[in-house]
Amino acid sequence: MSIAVIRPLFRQPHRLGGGHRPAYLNSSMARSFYLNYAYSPRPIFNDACSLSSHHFKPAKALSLRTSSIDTAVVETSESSDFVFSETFQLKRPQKVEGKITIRLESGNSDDNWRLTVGCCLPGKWILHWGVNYIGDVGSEWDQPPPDMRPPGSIPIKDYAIETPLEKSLASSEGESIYEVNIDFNTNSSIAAINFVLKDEETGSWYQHRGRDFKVPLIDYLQDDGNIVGAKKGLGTWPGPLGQISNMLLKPEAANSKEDIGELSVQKRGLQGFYEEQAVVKEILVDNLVSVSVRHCLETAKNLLYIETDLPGDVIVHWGICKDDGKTWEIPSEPYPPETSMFKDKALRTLLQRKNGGHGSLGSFILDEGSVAFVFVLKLNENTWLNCHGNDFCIPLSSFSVPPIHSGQPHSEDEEQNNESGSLLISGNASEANQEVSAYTDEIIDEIRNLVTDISSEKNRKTKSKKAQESILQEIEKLAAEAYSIFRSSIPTFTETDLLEEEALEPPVKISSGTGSGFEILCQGFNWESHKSGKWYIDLREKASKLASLGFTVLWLPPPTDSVSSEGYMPRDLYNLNSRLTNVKMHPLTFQGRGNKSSGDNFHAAPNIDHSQEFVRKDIKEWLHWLREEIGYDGWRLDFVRGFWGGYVKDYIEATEPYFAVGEYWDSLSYTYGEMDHNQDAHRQRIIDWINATNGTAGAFDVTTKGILHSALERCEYWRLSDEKGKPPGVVGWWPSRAVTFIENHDTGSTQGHWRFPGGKEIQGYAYILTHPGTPSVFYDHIFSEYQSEISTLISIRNRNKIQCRSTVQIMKAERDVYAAMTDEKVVMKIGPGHYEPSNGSRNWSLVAEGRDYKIWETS
Amino acid sequence: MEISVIGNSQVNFGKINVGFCSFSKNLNRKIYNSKNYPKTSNFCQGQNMVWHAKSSSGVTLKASNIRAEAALTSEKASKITRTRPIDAVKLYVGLPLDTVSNSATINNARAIAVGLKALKLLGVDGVELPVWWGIAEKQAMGKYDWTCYLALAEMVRKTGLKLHISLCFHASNEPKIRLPKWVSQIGESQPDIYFADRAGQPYKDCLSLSVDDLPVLDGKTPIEVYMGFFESFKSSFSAFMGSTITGISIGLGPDGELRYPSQRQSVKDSSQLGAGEFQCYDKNMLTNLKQHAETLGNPLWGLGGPHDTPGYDQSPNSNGFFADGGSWETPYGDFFLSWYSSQLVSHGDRILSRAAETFKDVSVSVSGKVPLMYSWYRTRSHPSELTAGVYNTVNRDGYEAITEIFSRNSCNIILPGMDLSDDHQPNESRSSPELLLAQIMSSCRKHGVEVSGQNSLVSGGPKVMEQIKKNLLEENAVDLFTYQRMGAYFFSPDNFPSFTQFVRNLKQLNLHSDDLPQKDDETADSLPDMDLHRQVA
Repeated sequence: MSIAVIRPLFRQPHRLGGGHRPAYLNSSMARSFYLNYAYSPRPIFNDACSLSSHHFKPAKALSLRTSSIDTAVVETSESSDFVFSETFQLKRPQKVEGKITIRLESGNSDDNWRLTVGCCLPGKWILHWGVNYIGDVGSEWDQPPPDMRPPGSIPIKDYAIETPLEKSLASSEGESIYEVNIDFNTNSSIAAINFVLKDEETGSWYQHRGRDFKVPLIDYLQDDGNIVGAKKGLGTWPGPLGQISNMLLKPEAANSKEDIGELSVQKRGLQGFYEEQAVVKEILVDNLVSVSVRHCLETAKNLLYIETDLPGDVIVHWGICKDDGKTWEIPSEPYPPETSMFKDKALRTLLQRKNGGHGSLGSFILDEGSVAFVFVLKLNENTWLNCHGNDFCIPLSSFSVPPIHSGQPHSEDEEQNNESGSLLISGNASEANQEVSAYTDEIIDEIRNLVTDISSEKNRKTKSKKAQESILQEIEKLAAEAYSIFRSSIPTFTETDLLEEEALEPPVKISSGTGSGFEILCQGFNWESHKSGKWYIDLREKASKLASLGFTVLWLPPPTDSVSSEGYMPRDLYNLNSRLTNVKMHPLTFQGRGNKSSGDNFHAAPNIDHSQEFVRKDIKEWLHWLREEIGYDGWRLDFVRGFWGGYVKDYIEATEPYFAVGEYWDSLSYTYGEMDHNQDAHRQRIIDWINATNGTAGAFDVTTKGILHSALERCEYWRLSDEKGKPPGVVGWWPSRAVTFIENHDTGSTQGHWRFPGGKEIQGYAYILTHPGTPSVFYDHIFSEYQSEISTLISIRNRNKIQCRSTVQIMKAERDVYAAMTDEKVVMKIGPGHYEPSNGSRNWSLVAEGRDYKIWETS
Repeated sequence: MEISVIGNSQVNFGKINVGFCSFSKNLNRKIYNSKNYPKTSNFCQGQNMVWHAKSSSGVTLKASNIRAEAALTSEKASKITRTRPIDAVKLYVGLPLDTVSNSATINNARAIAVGLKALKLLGVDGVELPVWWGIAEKQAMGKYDWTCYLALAEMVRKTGLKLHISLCFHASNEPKIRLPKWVSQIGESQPDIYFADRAGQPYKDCLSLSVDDLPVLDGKTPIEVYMGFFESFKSSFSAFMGSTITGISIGLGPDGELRYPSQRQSVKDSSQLGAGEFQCYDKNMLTNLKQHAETLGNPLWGLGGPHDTPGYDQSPNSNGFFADGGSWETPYGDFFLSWYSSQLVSHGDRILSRAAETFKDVSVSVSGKVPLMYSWYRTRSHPSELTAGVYNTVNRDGYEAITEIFSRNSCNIILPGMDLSDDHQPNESRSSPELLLAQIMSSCRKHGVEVSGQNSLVSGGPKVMEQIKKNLLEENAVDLFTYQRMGAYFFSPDNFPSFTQFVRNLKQLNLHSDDLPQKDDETADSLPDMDLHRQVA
């Protein structure tokens, strides 16, 4: 039996607290304090919020915070008796143990089988699953046949199904069991069922040994470690060393108890089984702490009471503030009973249990001189509770309440900024801390584990290899980031910096990041192109067509596929082309890629260690050769982690291409399956990459594609404007380096990894071909029924000289319609809703129209 | 002073009962010269022994308070638990000189935070942080502002790195970091607080050693001011001492080095043809020289510095002093050079003894930087070293006196130039960084002084890294190496990959995939989180 812990992702902390209660209770007394705990789960996706990345830091007012949580200035009671009285809401992490059950059994006939997945923990459980068919190569999932999908299933793209778990009838004794049944017939050609379990309530994923659960239905399936129900011995799970890449889940024990037997029916090697996996889910429990202060005139002392309903031993880790409220000090004695000194920095007082056994309380006598009583609560070594990531700060006098610890972290910074000569950290430090902390801290912890845990030599080796790979990737990423900051000496990337930079550049200067600025890319191949074996011949036939359509850059398949086999070199194409049309077309190549069917290598560069000088030199020479001898004018560079912008810059500077574009491909940010409106973090990563290349390469605007998906598919056109009224993708921040596209050989074609919403392609092209950035049109679309429409759009772009740095003004971004004006010459609208440009000073005339889109020009 | 015995558990402690109680303060030296103690030599000469001050593990002997043999032996027995490989050199990286800028802000804080993480992941042990007099005591004498430095120390601590602090009592030209304003203001009216050359030009980037004990700073002596700085630093950083902060180096002169500012060119590495000039022409130095000459009965020798020395940009042979058989080899030359160098040594002793005293009760190592004046090393007179204040010639070992004061104060020596190779020196300068380095290191070994290495040039690259590695691994004499320094170039594709390689080699981490077991069923589908992303995207 394996055990795994599910960790909340902290994307939306207010939905974590068990059940459906909003966490921010805004009453006059109970303010919205939630728990910030330093228990081992760190925020895995650290960009979402700051709440748990701050470990408690006593007496360090320097800890900078960028979070802006709602203001909660501590209020003073009117009562003459109570100087202060307030109840704070706490959220305490608590582990709930349960199990996931997987049962495979034969149904009413020999050929009918049933897979049952269940979970006994409360939650909104979703089974995210797909199948492998017999004869499939590789590990990618496919959709199961329709008759296999239980009711309520929702297809996810074309490779998975999501089926909610239902409360089972077998639930008993107050314990609910959630279950889903998948019935299938062994005569179908399914080789295996893969799944992961998702808790929608917390956003947690539950995997098996760090990977998908895999239930093989045929017996010769290669066992690569994650098969459920296989007859495996104990202890194959490598233990706690290897979880660097296992970010979501942390298995805690290594036992695997199986219960195979009674149900086993032999059919094509298929054997029934029943397996349980223990699962620990962390839920947040609401608790309260109330604090009241009375002033005693006679003794000139303050009496402070703390009362809480937290179970178990509660230690108050406390001190007082004398003047500025920033530093903790130790008050003079007497202290309450059960008080000890902690490193001369704070006092620790164990609260007394209440008589009823529920909760505890304590009282503190404090001298008048103190301004505030500061504390945090400690439940155990790993669990600290504080207030919005700050210490609780209880004012001790009704005047001079420094609000600094009470949820207004910005004011702290500002205050400090105003003092001349005092600390002026512009928030960058903390930002950086937060951004890099979660993942990196995880790794650093793992390094510690690697050092300390030498339990199993074999595990150590295999795991440390994995760890080392992640570490090296992480180091490169960090180094790249540090490099770009140090080099630019601009602490952070800001929009204005870029705009200024843009303004300085002459508009038609040719640079590898932008080409002439007026480029339109044709991606001249798809995944099938290599199959024909004569792609260049085909393309040659179509080249004149492409040029006449208005494309200026043609992106070709890897030369290794094309050059040697057929002997047609890009130069031939180039010559041919320019002879025929006088339009300069720039063949572009791209780096080789991994095996089609291998998911892991998919976005990986070939196994090249770019950090090796000689490798880089060789690549440079090769690129040179391609450029000089073969006739490529530019590069399309597959981004992989481990191939950072600094090296790209190297290659580009060495080969001076006409145009270069890189691909930084990672996931947009979603919350509960719903794409977030703000994708700034996503485009920032792409921009960081471009920055690291020193702007010598553009990058595919994956952000824009992703947002177009949601906007068009779900009729959410409001997504196409960011909070500042600009395009929400890379094109809104650094248009000249954004290569906009809606499909490429990976996402569309026969690959279909992330296909643009069907039937909406022209809306997508209406967007990218009227907007700044360098648009790229996919081969499959050009030679389809869309050709004439695409051609019209390109001619509109060229006629109006829309280029990568054009200005765009968003006129409307509502549920069902988006409209924008480019260079005050072209207006476009997409979406079913209505929009007409107002004919004020300009006279707009409709020049193109189609399904859910219209384009106008000034006449 | 602490000594650590490091080695495997086969060291037989039963045998060491003869000489230990008689060890005095010069324990290191005596043990090293183990022929004095033939009975213990089997213990001392073994491969298992490394002198290693301030080690966190191994046996600790407080030389000053050895009381009883029995107590010692038991302490030893309980502490011999861990072994450290002999060639495990601790590796630090210097933070940018302007990490904290003049306006008391942290520059590029984000880059530093990110950089720290990268270093930690890479396996670097710690970082070095320059703490500037002109920033921390900028406002007024005794008014210290440690805020930014504390914030940095906290950043370093959180990253899990160690911290070496360099207390800088000098100014820097690039980046521009000045002496405290209140000091420069004093210097306006009293230029004699600065070193001066023969032309009377003051050197305004640090105070002259001649005012060490003169109350020139508003009634306080510079030494008192430095002491105040030490004390305030110590109390402000007490939470980090011995845990995060493992060492402190004390600024001893120009660029922190124990030398005179004999070279006045801003770039002192590239076109270093001249031998530099003597810097004994400020009022107090001249007075001192005069008194010294009179004491020795040669008042005429004390009227000024040598008259036949070449200028900054002149070849050392262009005038009589440094030529073979020149003034340097005369009794006058010996008189002057002895005085000139002893002034420097005394200055070093004054500051180091104060620093050692201040920091003796916290477990940090105290060190100072010795210059590597390698040009003209292959001449008889070693003119560059002479003008810098090291009386080191073909006839005389000038580093003995220097290493001796470090030994006496239990301080470590920081040696720059570990990256320099003789191959890349201009032929006409007759320089030899490698030979000079070897000489100083041998002197350090002799005196039991631990050496921390640094590189001098910013330009990295595989060759430089090779040279450093050679210096570090060949001798086993260097305990810590600080790579200078973090910044844009450091993280650039030109440097960082070779640095990474360097660290890997140094740390002997076998990260190369070929060296790892191939049978690895976990890597086939590695990075499950990425898989997951793709599936749900």
